[in-house]
Amino acid sequence: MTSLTADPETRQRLPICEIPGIADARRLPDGDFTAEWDSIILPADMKHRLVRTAVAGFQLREKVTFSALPLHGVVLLVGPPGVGKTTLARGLADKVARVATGRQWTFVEIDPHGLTGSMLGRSQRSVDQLFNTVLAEQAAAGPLIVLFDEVETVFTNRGALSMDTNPIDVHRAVDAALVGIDRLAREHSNVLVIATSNFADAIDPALASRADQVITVPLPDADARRQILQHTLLAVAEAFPGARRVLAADVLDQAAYVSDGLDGRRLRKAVAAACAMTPGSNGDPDQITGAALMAALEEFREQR
Amino acid sequence: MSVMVRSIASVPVRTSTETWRAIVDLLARAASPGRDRLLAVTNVAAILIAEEYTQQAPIVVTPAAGARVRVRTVHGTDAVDAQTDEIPLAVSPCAGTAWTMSLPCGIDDIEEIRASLSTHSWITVRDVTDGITADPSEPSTKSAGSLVINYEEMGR
Repeated sequence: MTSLTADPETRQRLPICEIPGIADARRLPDGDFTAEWDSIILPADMKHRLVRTAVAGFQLREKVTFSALPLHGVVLLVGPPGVGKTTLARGLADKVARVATGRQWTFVEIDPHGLTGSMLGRSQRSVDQLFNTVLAEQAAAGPLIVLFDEVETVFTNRGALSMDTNPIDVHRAVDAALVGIDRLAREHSNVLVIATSNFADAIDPALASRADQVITVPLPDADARRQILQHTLLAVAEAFPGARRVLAADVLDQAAYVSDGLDGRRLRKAVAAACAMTPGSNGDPDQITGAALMAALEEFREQR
Repeated sequence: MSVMVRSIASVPVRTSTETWRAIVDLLARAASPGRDRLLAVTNVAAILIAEEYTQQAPIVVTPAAGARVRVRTVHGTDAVDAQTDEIPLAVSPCAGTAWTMSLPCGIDDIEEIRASLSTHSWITVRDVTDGITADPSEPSTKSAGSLVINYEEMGR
């Protein structure tokens, strides 16, 4: 396992980060993302299957024509908030770059809200520019992984649009995005688009049909909850050794049991909340106790 | 894709000199020998921009490998919109020294400009009314293949 401490030296943000609609752009592999891959806890084999899907897709798209096997290089991750879809996507991008070597990988994260605008035609123009200029040029320069977080913001389900909004502009933007996805897939076999959404029903069906795989990321089961809590507490204990007392097996077992229904994000935040729950600790993470952790988890469950 | 095309806002959004510096930032962002070469011809390039030759025909950069880059300048009221659409390139085609550049120039000025740039052998000056001929040997930059699968890493 890699160090749990992020290394800012590993980040190499690229100039295209300045473009509206681009949230992040960097070279891969990236140490920050490696840590995210290690931190995400999923049911057995789900992570490895995602990697195999991506690698198989690259190999198939390189050798088999699009007309025979219409793979778009799109993986859609759906599921409730907090289960780690975005973290999984970043980690997957890094893992793929470590597995498929030999060329310089680029990672681009789209800020979908930066693509939409109130001016008629602005959204379509931004989307068209994104796919046909920015992403196409990055793809031409080398293998590319695109993270499209909250993808329903751009690939809005056109069938569910209200006429009170601006449906013409949305229609045009969705059309432009679909054309862009198709063109990227046909012209560049080394592009993987990882799209995430909390609202599967809000995604235009045309995108879902283009996805090579739709993965539902579930809430963590008891074993996954235990691992998430352990991972978080280990990270805290690196800086605050007193937190090791909460890493006892019986404490973790009980914490996993009482936290049924919480997502990964809430589990990790519960550890932080527990640091403040121990009376007399004055918020010192070194003073965290098992009882405080259970209380925090119970409180978070009641807040659901 | 064999050509990347960009438009850079010029007068009145930028002066001619500022426009050339924006083009230099586009082609060789970080300090490099190639950037120094571009900055060394700022005065002459600014003249071509001020005469709007670079609006009529593009500056063409041919790197040693990868896609050609065509850069036009946009002047007048269109420059305001053009500034919001400026996009950095995925690569820095002029970062090194293995590139050539073709600058457009009006026939009345062409001899004088060529003489001014005679010591800069990597830059040629063409008649603004000449077309741009594609080099048939221009390498395709379509991304494909050459990835090596590390099965040991996959299993980790």
